[in-house]
Amino acid sequence: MTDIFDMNIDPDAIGDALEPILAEHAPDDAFAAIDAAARIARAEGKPLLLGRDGTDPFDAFITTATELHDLLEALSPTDWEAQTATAYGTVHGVIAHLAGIEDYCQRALDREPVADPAADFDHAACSRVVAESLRSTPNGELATIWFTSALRFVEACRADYRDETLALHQLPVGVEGALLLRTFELWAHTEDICAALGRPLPRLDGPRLALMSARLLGAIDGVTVARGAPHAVARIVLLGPGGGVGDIGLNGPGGMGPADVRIVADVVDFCRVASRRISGADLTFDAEGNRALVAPLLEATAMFAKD
Amino acid sequence: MLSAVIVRPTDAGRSHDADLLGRLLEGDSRALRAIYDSFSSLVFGLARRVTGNSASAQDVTQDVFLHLWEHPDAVDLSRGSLRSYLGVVTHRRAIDAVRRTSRATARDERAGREAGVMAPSHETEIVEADFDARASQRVRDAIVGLPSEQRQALELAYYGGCTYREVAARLGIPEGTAKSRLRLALNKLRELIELHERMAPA
Repeated sequence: MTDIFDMNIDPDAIGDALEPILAEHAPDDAFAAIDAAARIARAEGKPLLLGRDGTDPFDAFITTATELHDLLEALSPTDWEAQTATAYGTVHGVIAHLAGIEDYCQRALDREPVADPAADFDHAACSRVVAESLRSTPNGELATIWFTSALRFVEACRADYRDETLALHQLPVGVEGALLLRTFELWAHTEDICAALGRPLPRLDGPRLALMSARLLGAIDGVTVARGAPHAVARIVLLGPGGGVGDIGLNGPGGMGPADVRIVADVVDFCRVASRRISGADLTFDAEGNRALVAPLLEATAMFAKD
Repeated sequence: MLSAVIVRPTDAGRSHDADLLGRLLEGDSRALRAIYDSFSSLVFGLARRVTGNSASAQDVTQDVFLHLWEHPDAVDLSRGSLRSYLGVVTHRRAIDAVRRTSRATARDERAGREAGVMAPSHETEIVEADFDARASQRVRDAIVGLPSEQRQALELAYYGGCTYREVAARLGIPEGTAKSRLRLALNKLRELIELHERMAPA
């Protein structure tokens, strides 16, 4: 038997060592009962679709904003001055940017003029006027300003504008879509802050990941990955809580029929590609079929990230 | 880019696990068979150690693989391997099975005392399960008898799929302390398992 005390301790080494101790051959007929029960529970070939257990965009936004606010409340003054890998500099700069974005979104919702019309198409620039005005705001106060305006925005969306379309960076988007984009952004900036502080990256819960990944696939269905190329089908299989299976069309909408390419990846990492926190080239995935479609598909996945 | 700070499992078989889980998500029952072939001995053996009963262990084994078929998305490979996940689920379900049996036994005993006789089904069960129970009881006792901080570390490491660094972070203790708790726990567990093997009839 392997000597477990000479090993570098990690779960697989422990598992390797314990398995011979624990393993016992299961009765020969055991699998037949499992197989029969499995076929009743879910028919052979029936995939578990993405988004089946997703939360709603309102709750997703509120939960993500609350998690970021909780993180901010735990930061020291030194933490607030830590440099992030974003264009907004310090943690304070990131939150000032978010406060600016809340103001921008609220104005878009209320059909009011934006703070800087010349910067309307640029996500970073459109927050600048408000962010500059908050440059000297104490940390705790800034966190409250941002969080209060984020909650005000989502409550306005829920109460008065549920079926409205608003223009974000001059692109029309439904209220739910806007909240989803904002949820991606809040999550991405939470990761930015954690990365800057050397903290473990937060993992979104399954219901939020289910919502975000399913809507993401819906948004890229039909994307052009090669000019003039024929229609193709991509099967995206996303692993982990919130994961599932989704088929999309490439070079034209519709994911019906056998897949030309099948990609298997972790659901969180796939969402990180969408928020440009990892590149398509850095994504760990398995692909079968026409692999030439993978890189442009992953590039298209990140097209909504505004940072 | 954040890739440098994303914690990756050390599992060299991650890609194989990912392939099998992907196929489960797509409804491919051959993947379930492949996973069963790889891990049923571990699942059944662990369940029998905890429950001390082959019939209960078979029920737990069925539950575990059926649960995997219905919820393959519950496996988070960023936290540990498929084997670790199955170990965790098996352990939990086996503990649940033991608790259910204990509650049923207590009810039977109460009923027997009230009726003035021991319930026959309970008596039969004791005779049949006696050897299995004694054999596995020592392992259960070994795990249960560990100091709570060692047991917690071991559970996080094996059933929770954590590295010793992650164990340290989860318990808020230095890495060296986590490592020594794991070593002490494994040491004690090995002693007790060896004792059990020596005492078992040939």
